[in-house]
Formats: sequence, structure tokens, C-alpha cells
Amino acid sequence: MGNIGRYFWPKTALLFYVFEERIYSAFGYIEDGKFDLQEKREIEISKIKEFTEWLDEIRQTYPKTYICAMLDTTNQGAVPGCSKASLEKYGIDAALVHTLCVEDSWLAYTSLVEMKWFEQKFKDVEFDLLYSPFVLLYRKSLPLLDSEPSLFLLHQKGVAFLAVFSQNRLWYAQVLVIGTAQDEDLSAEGGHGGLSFDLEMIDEEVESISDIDLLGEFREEIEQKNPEENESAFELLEYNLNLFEEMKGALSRFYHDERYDHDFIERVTIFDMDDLGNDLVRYIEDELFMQAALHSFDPIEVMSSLVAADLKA
Amino acid sequence: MGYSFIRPKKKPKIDSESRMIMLFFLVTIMLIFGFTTYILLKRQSMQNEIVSMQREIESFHAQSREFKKEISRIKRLVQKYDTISINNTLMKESIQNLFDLVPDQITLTKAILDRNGLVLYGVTPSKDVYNYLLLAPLKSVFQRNVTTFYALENGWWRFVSVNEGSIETGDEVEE
Repeated sequence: MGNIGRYFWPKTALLFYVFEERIYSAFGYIEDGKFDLQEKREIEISKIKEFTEWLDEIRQTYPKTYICAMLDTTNQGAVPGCSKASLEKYGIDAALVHTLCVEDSWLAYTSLVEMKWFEQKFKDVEFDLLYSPFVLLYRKSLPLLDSEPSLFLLHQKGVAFLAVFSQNRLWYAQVLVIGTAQDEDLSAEGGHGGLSFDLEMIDEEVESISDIDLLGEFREEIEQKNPEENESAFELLEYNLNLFEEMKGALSRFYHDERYDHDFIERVTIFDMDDLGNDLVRYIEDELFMQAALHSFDPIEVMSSLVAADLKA
Repeated sequence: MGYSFIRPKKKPKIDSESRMIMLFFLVTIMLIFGFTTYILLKRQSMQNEIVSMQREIESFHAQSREFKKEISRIKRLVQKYDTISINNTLMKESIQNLFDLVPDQITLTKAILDRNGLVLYGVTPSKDVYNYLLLAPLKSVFQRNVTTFYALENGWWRFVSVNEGSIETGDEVEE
């Protein structure tokens, strides 16, 4: 009967997310509360037409196809509590955000404008389900949650979604935008106020972060390798340090912001969509004296379980 | 409980191609059902017709038997009529012959012709005239002849002749 159902009235889903100018997508059947993966494709975002053509082809064959995506905008977040008052408490204008109450315990939100912008970016795609990275992070973290709060980090290139979860509870959440030396240079060249400042002045007084001797004794060893590899190793090191600093800042805000309940965090779990390496884990363990673990993260895999649950309901 | 910012949109259950195929199948099934129903009804109606026709045939057979009986009865009647008619003709001829047999000397006063025979009453001048002129031809016609004479005052003889035997007489038509 299942096969007949699949043949005549298949319920299917196309899941996708955008990462580093590429669309990572997966297509599969939804059966018995599970997502049965059939095909995966990677398409450059510049070739979005190719993606929409594939989507049309799928829709023609399977009219009951649900389009699901991970919302990768930066103006989003999560707050403890599920009421409007919770948003007000953390200084968020409820009129400007779209919210989702998760587990009747915490609220994921995203900027309305950015959500529309995201939908506009894929104007030929009719979205059925849009997931917050915090929801994906929560879903992925579920098996690791216990009564004590732990820090979870979902990292993708240039941005990280940080949340402190315990069982059925969100303590704290923040989006970390991780800059690189290049980004800083570019923003400085633009000189459009805001965070930009006069680099000429700084150059005389402050060394660029890439010039700081972070490696110490290891420098010579690294320099013996290919110069290109060295450059990328330095960039990664710098990136990791920036991420580490952002994480430290977030932790500091969690501990010091009176609006949040806080408790001592001993465990950090990093879910990585990119290729961070183990340096960050080492920094956390050495400098923050916390247990740290790094896992790879596939949004498709997490979305698969969410889609099956959402469409079953 | 949902995990998405938006609710999924309602989807058509089947695509247009499948809808066409299903419609085609539906129409085909309906036609088959319709045709089957028509055939069944027709069969039922024909069975009823057969039963009614069988009854009609039986009734016709009965009628035919009646008609045959009637025909054979009529045939018998016709045959009887013919026989009677022939007999009557014969009888008429016989009577004519009989009266032709009676000589002028003998006067018949009464004659009774019935199934059993012929009874003649009359007057004869003499027994011999009777015996020679009338009895002889009567004997050739009837098997038994009994004659009784009564003498009259004038010398003539009254006679009563009873003749029984083979002569056929006309009869009423029996059904």
C-alpha cells in the first residue's frame, strides 16, 4: 500500500540551504514520519535558474512537494519565554519580527524584512517551511541536553548561532558575526561611519591581528610549509581567534546581563558546517577551562527530521 | 507543534496528468458498470419476456389443442352430415323406390319408417297381389318381413307389414 501511495499520491520535500554562494539541496519522499532521501544537488547561487528549473521539474512530477529552507539571515535570534513580553524584555520590537514559539518555552524570531528579503531572493520558490538556525541547533542538540545549561554553537562561514540550552529551556541566544582581517580592511576602506575607524592612525599604534605572534614557537614550523598553505593557516587561525573572542563576549554578556537567568556553563558543543579545525576546541579548553566538542553539522539531515515532524502534525 | 516560521501551503493531491488518468479510469469504470447494469437489466427483462412468451406458447398450445379438437369435431360433424346426407338421399331414393314398388291395386293407409325398419299399413285386394307385387321387392330390401292380414267385409285384406333389416334410415346429427 505504501508503494501505491508513493506512486499515486507521494508526499515529497525539497530541502535546501545556502552556504558560501552555493545552494545545497536534497529531495526525498516523506513516508511514515520519515524523510527518505532520494537525491542531493549542489548548485551555485548564480545559477539559481538551474535550481528553479529542477524545482519545477519536481513539482510537475510530484505536485505535493513541500519546499523547506534554512533561513540564513543574521538579524534573528531567540529569547527565553513565549510571550510578547519576553520580546519587550530583551528590547525587540515585536512589530518588526516574525516569531515562533518552540516547546512552549522559548521564542525564535527573525526580522520580517529579512525574511521577506530571503523569500524575494528566491522569488520563483513558494516556501512551505522556513527554519531558524536556532531551531536546527536545538533539534541537533536535543540528545545532548540535560538539566545543566550547556553552550551550543552552530557555525557557518562568517556567522555563528550561539545558544545556551538545558532540557526544554533556552537560557541565552545570540548571533555572532565573525569578521576576518580582510573584512576589517574592506570595512575600513569604505569608511561609512558606524564601526569603521581610521586605520592609518591605528596602523601606527596597533599591530594588525594577523601580525600578532600568536603561534610563538610554532611559527617556524609553519613557515617551512608552502606559503599559500601558510596564508590559509593564518587566516583560519585568525578566524578561529575572532570566533573565540565573539564567543567569549557572548558568554560574558550571558553572565553579566541581568535580564537573563544564568548558571555556570561547563560544556561547549560546536556544530560546524565549515571546516573550523580543532584549534577552537583547544582554546576553549585551555583558556575557558570548559569541556568542548566539535561535530560536523548537516542542515539537510536536521531539516529532514523537522520536515517529517512538521508535515506529520 | 511546528518548528517552522511559516505554515505549509495546501498542496494539490494529484497532478493534472494523474487527474486525467484517474478521470479516464473513472469514466471507463462507470461505462463498464453502466454497461454491466444495462446488460443485467436487459437479461432480466429478456428472462421475464422468455417466461411470459413460454406462458403465451403454452396458452397457444392449449388453444391449438382446443382448435384441433374443434376441427376434428367439425370434421366428424361434416363427415356425419355427409353420411346422413348420403343416407337421406339413399333413404329418399329407397322410399321413392318403395313407393314405386307399391302397385296400383294396393292402397297404403299408413307407413312408419324408423331405425328398426318399415311398417306399412294398407289394403290389398288379395293376399296374392300383396305377396307377388309388394312383398317380393320388400324382401329384396329387408332381411325379415312379417305380414299380418285382416279380412275386410268387401273381401279385401287389411294388412300390416313389419320389415326389419338392413335398410339405413336418416338420423339426427349427433355431436
